[in-house]
Amino acid sequence: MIVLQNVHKTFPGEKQPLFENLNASLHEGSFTGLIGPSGSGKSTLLRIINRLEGIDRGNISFRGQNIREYPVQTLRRQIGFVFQQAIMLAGTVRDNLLLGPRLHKQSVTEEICVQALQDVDLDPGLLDHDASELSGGQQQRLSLLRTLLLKPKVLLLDEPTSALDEHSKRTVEQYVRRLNREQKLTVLWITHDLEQLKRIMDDYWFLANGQLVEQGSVEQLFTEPKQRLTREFVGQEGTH
Amino acid sequence: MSILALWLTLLFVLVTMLLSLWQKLRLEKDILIAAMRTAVQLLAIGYILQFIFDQEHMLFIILILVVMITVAAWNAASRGKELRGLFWRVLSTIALTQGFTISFMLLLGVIEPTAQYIIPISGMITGNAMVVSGLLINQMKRSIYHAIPEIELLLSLGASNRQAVHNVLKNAVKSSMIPTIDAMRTVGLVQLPGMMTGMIIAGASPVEAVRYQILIMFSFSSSAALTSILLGMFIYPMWFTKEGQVQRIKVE
Repeated sequence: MIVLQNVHKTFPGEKQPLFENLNASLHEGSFTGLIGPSGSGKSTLLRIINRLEGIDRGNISFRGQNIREYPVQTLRRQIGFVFQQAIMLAGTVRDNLLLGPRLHKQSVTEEICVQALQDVDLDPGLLDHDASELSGGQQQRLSLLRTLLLKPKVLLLDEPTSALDEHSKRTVEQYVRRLNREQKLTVLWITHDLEQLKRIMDDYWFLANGQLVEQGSVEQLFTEPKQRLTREFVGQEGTH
Repeated sequence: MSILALWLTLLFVLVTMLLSLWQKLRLEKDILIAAMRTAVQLLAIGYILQFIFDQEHMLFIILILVVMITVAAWNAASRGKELRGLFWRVLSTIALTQGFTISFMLLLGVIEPTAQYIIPISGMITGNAMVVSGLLINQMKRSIYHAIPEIELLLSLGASNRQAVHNVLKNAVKSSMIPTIDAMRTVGLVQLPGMMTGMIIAGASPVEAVRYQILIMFSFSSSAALTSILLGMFIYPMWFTKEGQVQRIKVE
């Protein structure tokens, strides 16, 4: 579905490259957790796949075609992105929910709006409330729905549950997992929570020192991690 | 005004310099240079205008308009030195605004097609367009920088660059027009505009002076709107790369 080959990325003014010869692949319908130490470039990697950030060298393909060959707007609609910080625009919950469809002049029925909110345990009665009045957790769930309403093929999530309470976290996990299973939605999810990784994800990418150090099944990560760096990371994070 | 009276006005400059010395503002040199520039620039333009009015040749009128627009664009574009190619966009905007406003006035027969009318009125419109351009550039730099998360959110939802900056652009256009609208609201109550005052001092009847001032104020409103909207449309792409990514242009 998505293949990264020899990706190089250095931020302007930085001597040290963030990524050097980074290679990775994500197959259709997979549910992958992106893990790695802070500052390893996890968020930047998602931004690169969504083309919010450029690369210096290398190739990234989506469904066999270089992502630069797609009209950028088409690509971004197919590769949805949920930011770590839920950004609410001025207006109601409905205005925020329908942001994507309205940009593309698509109409969405009331039933779909109500169902979407119910899916993530949000009260449909909130639809006409000011979005800025929602709690951080509610805003994060709304921001996930907003992206999903565009029916992307791939969903990139940057720690979407870091601000959520345990109940909301489980609701979001189950919802995304369901979409992954039922609609073959390909998911790449940044997480620092190894329990969460174990709970819902099938595969993992471990990012460190500008490289994708290791990728494989979550089961393998906990039973037989191949690289020393991965073992150390799992050991450290596991004790947190 | 006699030449002696003109020399005596230098006393105002002297007062300003003394105040600066007293308050240790260290502005004496700047004040002196600014005063000399004012005198030299205005005297020069006075003689140039006298020459052009005497010649009454369209080529000279166009030449002086080109100089005015170029200087105005240069000055306004200095607000955004980080934006490459900004000067040409500001220049095109001011030229288009100027062209439209003056053509409209000539077409309606509101002013006569002579240097005496075209040059001063163009000067005022250009000056206003310059101020509006500077405000818009400043506002856009600040607003876009602070709205990057919102812009990237919209981009991630498949918005075009224009859709992504729509709100920012709208607010910047509004902000840049506020001084012009405020001036229209308070003109005659808070301040008597320079052109009107000048005409009255030169011996024109106050009613005649007011008529021209109304013309100027109304043309300012349309030229301010035209300048800010056109310039906004011309310059917003400068914040995006060819790949459709937002460029982080820092605000000083």
